[in-house]
Formats: sequence, structure tokens, C-alpha cells
Amino acid sequence: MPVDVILPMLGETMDEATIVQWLVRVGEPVKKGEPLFQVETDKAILDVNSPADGILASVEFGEGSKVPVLSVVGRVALVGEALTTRRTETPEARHVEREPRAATVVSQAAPRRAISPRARKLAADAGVDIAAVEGTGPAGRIVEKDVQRAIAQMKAAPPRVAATPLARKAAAQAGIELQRVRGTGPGGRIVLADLSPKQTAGDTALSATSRQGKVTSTPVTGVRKIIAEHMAASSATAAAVTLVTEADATELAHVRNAVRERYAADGVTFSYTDLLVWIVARALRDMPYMNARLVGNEIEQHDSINIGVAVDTERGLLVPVIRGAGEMNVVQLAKALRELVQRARSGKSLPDDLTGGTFTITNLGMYEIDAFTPLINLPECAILGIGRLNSKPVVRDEQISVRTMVTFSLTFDHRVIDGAPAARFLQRIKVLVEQPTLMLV
Amino acid sequence: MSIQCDVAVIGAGPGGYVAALRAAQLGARTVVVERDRIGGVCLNWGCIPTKTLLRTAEVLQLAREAKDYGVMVADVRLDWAAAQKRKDAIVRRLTGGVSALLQKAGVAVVAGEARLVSPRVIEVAGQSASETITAAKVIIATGSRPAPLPIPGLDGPDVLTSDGALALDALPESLLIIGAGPIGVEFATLFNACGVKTTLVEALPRVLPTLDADLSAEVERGLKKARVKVLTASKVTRIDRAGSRPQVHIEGAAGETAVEVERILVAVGRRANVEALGLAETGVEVTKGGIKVDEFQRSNQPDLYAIGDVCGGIQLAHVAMHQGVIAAENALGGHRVMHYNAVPSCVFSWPEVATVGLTEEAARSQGYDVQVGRFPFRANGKALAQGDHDGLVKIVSESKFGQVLGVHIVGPHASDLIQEGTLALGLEATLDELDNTIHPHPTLSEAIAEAALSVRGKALHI
Repeated sequence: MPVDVILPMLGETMDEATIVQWLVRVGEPVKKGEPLFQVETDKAILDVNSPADGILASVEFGEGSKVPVLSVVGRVALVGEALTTRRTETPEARHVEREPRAATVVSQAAPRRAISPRARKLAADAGVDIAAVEGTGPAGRIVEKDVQRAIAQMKAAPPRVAATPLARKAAAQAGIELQRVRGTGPGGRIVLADLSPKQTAGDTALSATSRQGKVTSTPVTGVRKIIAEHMAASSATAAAVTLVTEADATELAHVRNAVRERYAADGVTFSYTDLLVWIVARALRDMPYMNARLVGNEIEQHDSINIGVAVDTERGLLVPVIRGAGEMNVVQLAKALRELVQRARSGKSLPDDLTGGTFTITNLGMYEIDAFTPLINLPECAILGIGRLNSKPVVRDEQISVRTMVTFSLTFDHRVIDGAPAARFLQRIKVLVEQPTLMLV
Repeated sequence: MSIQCDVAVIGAGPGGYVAALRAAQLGARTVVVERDRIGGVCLNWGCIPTKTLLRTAEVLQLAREAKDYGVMVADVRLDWAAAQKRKDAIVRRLTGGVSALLQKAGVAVVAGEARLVSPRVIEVAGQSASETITAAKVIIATGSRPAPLPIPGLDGPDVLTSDGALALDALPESLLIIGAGPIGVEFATLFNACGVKTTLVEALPRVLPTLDADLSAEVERGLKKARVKVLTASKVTRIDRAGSRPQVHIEGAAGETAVEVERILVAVGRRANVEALGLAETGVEVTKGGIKVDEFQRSNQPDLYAIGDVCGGIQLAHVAMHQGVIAAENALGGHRVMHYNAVPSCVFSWPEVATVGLTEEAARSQGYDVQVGRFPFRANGKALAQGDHDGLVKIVSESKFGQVLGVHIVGPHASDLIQEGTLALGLEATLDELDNTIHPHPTLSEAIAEAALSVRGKALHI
């Protein structure tokens, strides 16, 4: 029997992936553990390896198909095995069950299939052509489960899209999936102009007079869709409260300069984000009630401090997670974060890079933002927003002096944490920022 | 008296009455203000009357040629007064029909001259009393009128506009028409067929200069065959009236000539009716062409829409009607955009002309890799049977997808045939769709299928 090639679960939140490329063609030999095809998840492009030594016997989903995880996407025939598929009728299948007289013309014409009565009824009711159903019962017999899967696949198949003949031809040539295009023609029909935001000469003159302007529509898919769902869920469910405080980061600046100098020769650079991850990890170790996730009706307090850092990438906001940040020194943190950010920006994040966080940091300081109200990355219970570092006149020891100040915005989920403990946590961060020597004790 | 309503339309021409009907259809309390006749220029002094008289000319021509068809008709002559009576009856019937439609739809018609006091308040000066209309939305559809030409001597009593030409009690012996656009060409066709010695003067190098050159050539040939004197690339410089009849001085490539005629018809350009509407006072932006609107037909005032000739742009009744529907829907909360990529236009010359989309020249200048197909009506069985086989169908397409960019027809029933092209452009059809469409036999429409096939050298009947 050939071995099924399964699309694996590639991350906690992933329920489907797009097959980007088959690296091996049907009929070509494959080796167990060697890359067989590439998939694009919402967050990264990954290789999936062959489950066995043999020959790629069949491919069930072509390049560009969106496939639910754990689907069979192909089969590898073991060495010496004939390249047959299960669709082929086997002699023993025939006498397992006779075709009843009520069978439709279509199924009479089709080769007879071994099928259970329940499966047959379900197939007839749902209009499923049993000739095309994979049987997974004994000797390839079609069982109810197989028909259910076929129905699910039928439903998942993209509906027919209304598009003009010209739009169809142009889309085919440009490799644009019409399912992803919003039509603006009569009855939502896709017209040529919908394929690209480029305006025709005739439209330009008119649009210039329009106060509404030209609207460019982009379908919400991939990373954008994930962000949209997460943010809406966060906004809708969390009882979010934002606390804002200002800290004197002058000492921290000294520390940063010192470590920078010390490690310059080793090629390690340090950003304030690195240092703040280091400080936040410490604060979380000190106050573990903040290192929590609300899952269902349970508050999970985690031992492992996994800090996510929001990264702006071409594909949208990604949050790579530094696992075990509580156990790392600042150099290790800086290196780990650098690698995660690089992978995120190049679309090569590993499945676990983007999951499992217990706390998130987001820095908008480079855009001269001071305070803001970040949205909690559920199911985590808090997120720290870092503002810009800015020289300001402050009163110190009854004197006005110029200090490097930074604003922190801590949004926490009041369902999980009350205001005072959250405030104490933010105060703890402030103290550590202002007196980095406390990191030693 | 004062009236409150949801939508007030100023002007009951083809754009205005259609806007009013659509607004009423959508449940709005609708008022339409008209200072003259319901139906506007189109029904009273434009499209319909000219077509009515052209039909008379056509029947006259057919009677003259009857013997070619084996029919002997004696004593063929024109009764111009009877033709005028027929025209007036048809116009009355149609305008009466529009009035009935408005009444049935519950649209109130207010007679008088409208003036905006604010974007939503209109004062109507009627014959006896004045009224104030307060509307949630206003649609301006006041149309256009012939534009005067700055030519010395072009103000005598012998000079006609299109309105005057249609109302002539008696036919002149000779007529000189300035401008060989659609209006000029139609009048030349009409009066020439009615026995008037006709001269057609056009400043640009060809008649119907905005249309595809193949069409112009065919129409010019038709006019010359009918003995219309066609002077292209020629300008009327002045008119002097030293003699008994006006002398029209024309400067052409071959130097200056003078033509003596009984009447002169100016058929050049139209000007938007934007004056006396109170637009400046209400802050409505007006450009040289007319009221400035966006693709929703809305002016710079959010509650004020404008449609038809008063906006400048393409001054055709069917464009105004379509804009009227769109303006009415948008005024009542819709969000429809006016598209101009598939606007057909027709000239009722002999042979008739109808066109939609890009000319070959325009398609090339827009950077398309242009492919053209042509099919002459002389190879079409129905056209031969009809005895009317001058002209051709020309299809302009591009090579990449075979997109149909323009359909140009000159020949019998061109104006009825063009809709296949309009639909093709509107639905973004390619040559394949035209190829795959079965055309009935024997009909003139086969020429369109053959023209589409001929783009790729697959025409069967030539």
C-alpha cells in the first residue's frame, strides 16, 4: 500500500495552508525525510518532508491549492509497489456489495464501487459522485466517513465566480485567482479594472472631480486575515485597561552604551527593545501572575517566560516569541530576537516562532509615539507598549535637569488581573529601568 | 405657494424626465420644473423631429427608386407641409406620453423658470404666480442650446439654428450648413433628399471628424453620391449681403470661394444652459463646459446633482437618460457610478452610422496592439435583398486577449445593429464571444460576426 502524504499541523493556530510547490514530480523517487513540497501558512513558507522512501505516486492537491491540515495531499508508493491508486477497482470489491437497481445512470456508467449502504444513501442525498470518492474501508470500500469527507471537500471548493470574459483571460495570464478579487461590475461581476488598481485614461478625468476618490480594494487574506481576527477578538472580549507611566531611562542608556561597546567587536548590537525584553522578563519572573494566559475558564500561569515582540513586516504585523526569555542574559536575548526578527521579515518564520507567547512587547518609539493603547495578544493577559526615548527637562532633587525619559503603556485584561497588581508590575518595570543595577540582585 | 419634496428635477428633457420617473419609482415625492415643453430638445426640436422628417425623405427616396424594385410609382413629389404635420403629431404623441408617464408615476410638473435660492430651495417664476420648492435633493437637467459662432454676418434673418430649420414652413431653394458633425450631416441628408441644393462646410479635414476615419469616408462618399457639395478643411470667414441673397465666403485649401445661398444653417457646438439658475450664488462649481460633477453625477454641493448636456461631456440624450437614473438613485442613497466606456452614438445619415468604443486611431494612441476586422455589407445577403448595401462593419480589437475595443458600423440599420457591440464592450467581451455567438440568417447582424472573424482572417463570406 502506498503511504499517505499528510499536510501536517504546522502551528497551533493553523487550520489550512496553501501548497506553494511540489519539489518532486509524480513518478520521481523520494527519500524519507527529504523535502517533498512547500506550503505557505499564514505566517511562513515551510518545507514538508517525505514520509517514506519510494516514488511519488500521486498528488491530490496541485500548486496553489488551499488545503486543510491533516489532509492527504499525495501518496508515496513504496519501492517495488505498482503505481496504482485506490480508485482502481479491485476484483474483491465487486462482490462485497452489488449495485442496487435504484442506482443513478451516472453511477451505473461508472465502475462499480464497494460502498456501505449508509455511505451510499448519504452520497445519493448529497449528490456526491461515488466514483470520485476515496474508499478507506476494508479493501478500499467506501464508508460513511469517506462520503462525509467528499461532501466537506465539495463545500470547500470555490464557488463559481462571475467575471467578464476579458477579466478571466487577463487573470489567467497574470496568475490572479479570481476568488480573491472583488467585482465591481454589474451584480458584482469581476471586470478588467478590478484586477489591478490602475485606472483607465477615461476614468482618471472623472475621478479627479470626485470627492470620494478611487477606492482600491484588497481582499483580507493571509496574515491580514489573522491579524483582523485576532485584533477584533481581543477588542471584543478582553476587558482591556491601559496604564501609562513615564520612566527615567538615563541609566538604562548608560547600560546600553556599555554593553554595545563591550560586544561591538563580537558583532552583537543592542537595541532598547533588547534591554527592555530583558527587564520585562525579570519583572515577569518577580511577578509571575502577569505571565499568564486566559484559556477558556482557566487562568494558566506559566513557568516559562515567552516574550513576543511585535514586528512590522511587509506581510503585516507578526509577533515572534522568545521562548524561555526568563532564563537568558541580555546577550542571548539580543541574539535570539535578532534571528527571530530576521526570519519574520523574510517570511521564513518557523512554526513555533510565532506561537506560545505569554507576554508581548510592542515598541512604537521609533515613530515618535509616546503613549498608546496596545491591544492584548490573546490569550495572553497583558501587553507593554514602549514609547520614544526623549530628552526632557525633569525635576530631580529640586533641580531641573535634562534626562532621557520613556513612556510605558501597559494594557492588561481586567478579567485576569486587577488594577493594583497590574500597576505594581508596571511600577516594577519602571524601577528596573531607572535603576538597572537592580537587575543584578 | 410652496412645495416640499424629496427630489426636485429642473428640466423635463430626456435626462430630467427619466430622473424624475426613477426617483418616483423609488418612492420619492418628486417634482419636475419645466419652462417650455415636456421632453426638451430631444422630443421637441432634436432627435425625434429630425428622425421623423428623415423618414419622410427616406420614403421619398424609396419612391423615386421604386422602379428598381419592380414597383412603378407615378407622380412622386414631396408635400413638406404634410411632412411637418406628421412630425408635429408624432412629437405631440410622444410628449403627451411622457406627461402621462410622469402623471402616472405621481411626479408633479411645475411650469416656469427655475432659480436656485440655495442648493435645496428653488424659486419657480411661472406665468401667473411663483412657487418655492424645498427639496431634499435637487437634480439639474437644463440641457443646452446651439452655441453662436463668431463669424461676421452670421446674424441675419436667413441664418437658422437646428430649431429653426425644423420649423421651416417652406423649403429653401439652397442651404449651406456650417459644421459636418452629426447634426450638420443629418440636416444635409434631409434637406438634400428633399430637393434643396445643399452645401456642407467643415473646418476639419473630414466629415464626422470625431468618428472612425473609415466611417467618415463612407458617409462622405454617400453625401457626394447624393450630390451634396461637401467642403472639408474649409472655413466660413464671413457672410455678406450685398446682393439679393447672402454670399458665404469660404476659405479652403484651394483658396477662397463664395457660395450664394438662400439659407444658412449653423450646426456647430452647443452651450450648456447654466445661466439664470442662480448657480454662482449657491456656490455650485461651473466650468467652461458646464456644471462640474463627479462620477456619481453629484456637483460640489452634496445635495445637488446635475445630468445631461448641462454638464458638458458627451451631449447625447441616451447619456443624459442614463445619468438621470444614476443621479436619482444616488440622490436617494445609492452609490452608482456612471461609466463611459460603452456609450453608443448614432448618426442618421445615408448610409447610417453607429459607433461604440474606441476608434482605431484612439486605440493605437492608447498603446493597444490593435487588430482590425472589416466586413462590407455588399457581401451580406440581407443587405443586397434590401437594396441597401453601402457601408461596412469594422471591429477594433487588441491582440493580447482579443478584447473588443470598438465597433463601428456604417450602413443599413447601423443604429439598430450597434447594441451587440455596446453589450460586448460593457461585458468586456473578446472576439471569441462574438465568434461563438450564433447570428440569425439572413440578417444584417451577420456582418458583425463576419467582421469579428475577419480580425483573425477567419471571415467566411468574403
